Amino acid sequence: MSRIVDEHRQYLTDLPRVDAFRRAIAEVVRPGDVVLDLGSGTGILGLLACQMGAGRVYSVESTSLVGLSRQIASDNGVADRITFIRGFSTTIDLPGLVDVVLADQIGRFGFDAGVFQYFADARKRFLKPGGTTVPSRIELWAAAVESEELWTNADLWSAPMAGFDMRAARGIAMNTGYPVTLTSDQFVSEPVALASVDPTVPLGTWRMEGSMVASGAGVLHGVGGWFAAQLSPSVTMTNSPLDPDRIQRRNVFFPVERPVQLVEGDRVTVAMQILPSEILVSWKVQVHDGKNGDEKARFSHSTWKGMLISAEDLRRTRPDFVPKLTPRGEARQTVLDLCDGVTPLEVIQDEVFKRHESLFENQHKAELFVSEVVTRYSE
Amino acid sequence: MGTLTATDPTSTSSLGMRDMNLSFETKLSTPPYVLVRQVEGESVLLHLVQETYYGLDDVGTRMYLALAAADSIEQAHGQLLEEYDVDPETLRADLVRLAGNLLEQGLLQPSEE
Repeated sequence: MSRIVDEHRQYLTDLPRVDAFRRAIAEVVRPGDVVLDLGSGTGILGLLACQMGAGRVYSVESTSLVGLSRQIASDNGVADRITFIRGFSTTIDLPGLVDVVLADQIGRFGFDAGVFQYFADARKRFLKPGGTTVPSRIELWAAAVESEELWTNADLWSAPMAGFDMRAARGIAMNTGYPVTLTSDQFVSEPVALASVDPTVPLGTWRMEGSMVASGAGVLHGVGGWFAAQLSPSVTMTNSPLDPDRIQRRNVFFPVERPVQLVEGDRVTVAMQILPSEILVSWKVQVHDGKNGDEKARFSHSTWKGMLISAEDLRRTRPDFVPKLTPRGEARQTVLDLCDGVTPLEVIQDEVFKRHESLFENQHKAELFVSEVVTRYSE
Repeated sequence: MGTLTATDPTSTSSLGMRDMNLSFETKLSTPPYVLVRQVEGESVLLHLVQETYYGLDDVGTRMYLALAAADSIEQAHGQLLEEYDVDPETLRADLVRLAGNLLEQGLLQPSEE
């Protein structure tokens, strides 16, 4: 089975998720509505919209899943009501405005799968005035987490690995947000809502802060993050570890530099700075003594420090850098030059193999290369 | 000496320190909306509001770090003079030009400390 299809199997068998969207779509889609489904995958949200009476659904999907979802729509008798468009919603056009925009590009922490980029664009270009988005609001939640295991995974680089000094990687590991499944017994504080955001607002950098009180003695190893999405006036979907109806989606663990012993009443303050367009999160954590207010610890982390950047990467960004095509770049250029609206594919394949023979083991490999370029850049 | 490169890498700033009413006694610091990452002696800066990346070469990085950490531009000048075999006035001119450029791009800010 295709891995991407198997990934969607998991989405479709996540019953709380499907049920939440079913109820929300029933609440917001009216008979005859025009609906836009962004990142439609198997097309499930569009199918649900048709079930609720949508007159027209535009399903936008960037991958080859679009062929499968077209077949599924046909098998379910709604092919005449769903228009499938292959591409990214930010680069396509629609023939008219829509009443409802749907998407589940929420990610694990509410912003990290692109919903804000897609919705901001969709609201500007596709949504009727007074139209509805699903979700209409997303909250970002956090809690202080005790988990020696999670923290140790990030700290493993402190000790020699395979007999070698790998400490250079620790700074990166400690500035990474880890997808994990958190459980409520790992919390050493009540959770706090850091922010509540309209996903159609223009992007920018968000600053948010929350303060939590240690609910007992424990150890602070990091901060857990998750989302709660308002899908419709009465339907919320969340991956909160505290919600028995949570969807099957992991949370995020943000480690702190070193564990901090907590006693009941200690205050843990988390200040986050998030740049959704770059999926960048900075987290500053302060711990204050609950009795006298003294600062016990202060940490500053950022996925900015966790990115892998090399001097070679930087060299290529300098204005005085003179780029030169690699042999594969030249082959790609050959393909693009031959996509002139006249030359058929078989001629392009032959020509690319002939001009760049040293790059390919055989003609078949050259054909695959050409297909990859043509699929991406031609119509 | 150090160069400031960016998405919009205009040449040296036309807005110098004098225009921003700064003196050599001014303390500069990294604004909270700027993230700095050192990479093998060079650095990348991300301005979170503009959503723009900037790059500094090794000398520019050293000058930036000195400017952001010192109690005054004068002090940064003194520190750099100890590290580099350079004519003081040349260094002063380069430091002024880079500081002006960094200030204009919002990558440094006058600090009240």
